[in-house]
Amino acid sequence: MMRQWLAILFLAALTVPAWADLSKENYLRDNRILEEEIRLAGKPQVYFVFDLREKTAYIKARGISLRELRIKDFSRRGGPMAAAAYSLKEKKTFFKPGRETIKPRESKDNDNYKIEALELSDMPSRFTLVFDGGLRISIRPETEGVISGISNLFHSALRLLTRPLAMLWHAVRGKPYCAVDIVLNKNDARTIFWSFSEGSAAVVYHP
Amino acid sequence: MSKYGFYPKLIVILSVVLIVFGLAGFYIGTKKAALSDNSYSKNGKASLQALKARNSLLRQRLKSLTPQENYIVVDTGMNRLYLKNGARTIREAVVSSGSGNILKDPAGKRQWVFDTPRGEYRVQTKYVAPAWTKPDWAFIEEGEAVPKDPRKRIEEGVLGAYALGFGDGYFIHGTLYTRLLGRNVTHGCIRVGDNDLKFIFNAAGIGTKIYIF
Repeated sequence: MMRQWLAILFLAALTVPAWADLSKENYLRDNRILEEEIRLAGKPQVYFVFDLREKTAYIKARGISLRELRIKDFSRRGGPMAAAAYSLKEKKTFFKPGRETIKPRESKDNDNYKIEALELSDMPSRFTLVFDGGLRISIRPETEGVISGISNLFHSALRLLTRPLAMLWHAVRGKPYCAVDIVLNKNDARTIFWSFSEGSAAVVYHP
Repeated sequence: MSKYGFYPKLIVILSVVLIVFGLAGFYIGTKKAALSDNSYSKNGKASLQALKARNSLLRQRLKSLTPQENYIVVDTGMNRLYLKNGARTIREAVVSSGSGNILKDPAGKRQWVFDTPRGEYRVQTKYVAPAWTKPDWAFIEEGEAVPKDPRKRIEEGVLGAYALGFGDGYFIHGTLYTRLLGRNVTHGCIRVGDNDLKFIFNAAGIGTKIYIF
């Protein structure tokens, strides 16, 4: 019995330095991301924080949290994620919301006033944010009902097929590639699409 | 003659190729992700205690950025305005913000996009019983000629009892169309109901920060 306890103690002693190192790496990475966030907070633009550890996304300005969005689930694939601020290059979606063009005089002549505007409900809830530095964040809504479930299943299957190929393609070309899938409430997903514009910056705290 | 046709064979070959490439990509990608954390250890000369202290200092610095005075937050998607102090919300109001519509000048090359601007702003001007100086687009939208006499641009009573200007002709102001509060119907300004507007006008001074997203 004594021998067993000694063996456990010995193994524990061996693994302690590894834990300490891991913790050190985490702090180093965390500190760098925090420094990046403080740098972003020095600018007057709105920026985004994806805290995957706390499962929360934040819309921020000057370090102030303007809105908090609960992340239901997430997964990560691909290469390393830089401890830096990423800039949004493109928002990719199947159906991009379009703007209405006003026809002069129409509002004056039309007795049955109908609101024609770009609103939050017109935003897609399933899209991909393509950042510089090879980061792609795919947002999808949580499953609500049969149609949404089938759609999510279809997209998951498609990703399962295409993601490894994309990872291989980027690895062969020597370009960075990191993909994060995030599940949000439908309205929160739309809020991300609504608020994020090309050139917006984001930082990602990850486990 | 083969027992199986050409197309089934092709499908099988393509599937095998796809699976092989997929597995290779999955392996490379996962391996890279696993190795990624090691990149931080190369530069880690500081002790764990020092790193922890630095982490806490940085978090504190970030937290201290939240102003301890009144400031305004506008959520243009939800059409909500929040008057805040620190993390505390003092007042929440339903508002109307920009429609995102486009107006083209039929006579020229000008074009307007009716978005509420986003980012950080300050209250620059405050008016009681403001009059609206109609810009060119207001006439063009109505199909009218743009007047040369500036007095013909003035319209009384459409901006409500108060207005707070935050630059480039954008205002937080009142509205006659209270039934449209909560919808994106404006030309970029932020319309607020009477009671909320009065409260915000009294609580916000010149220089009060406005954050719009």
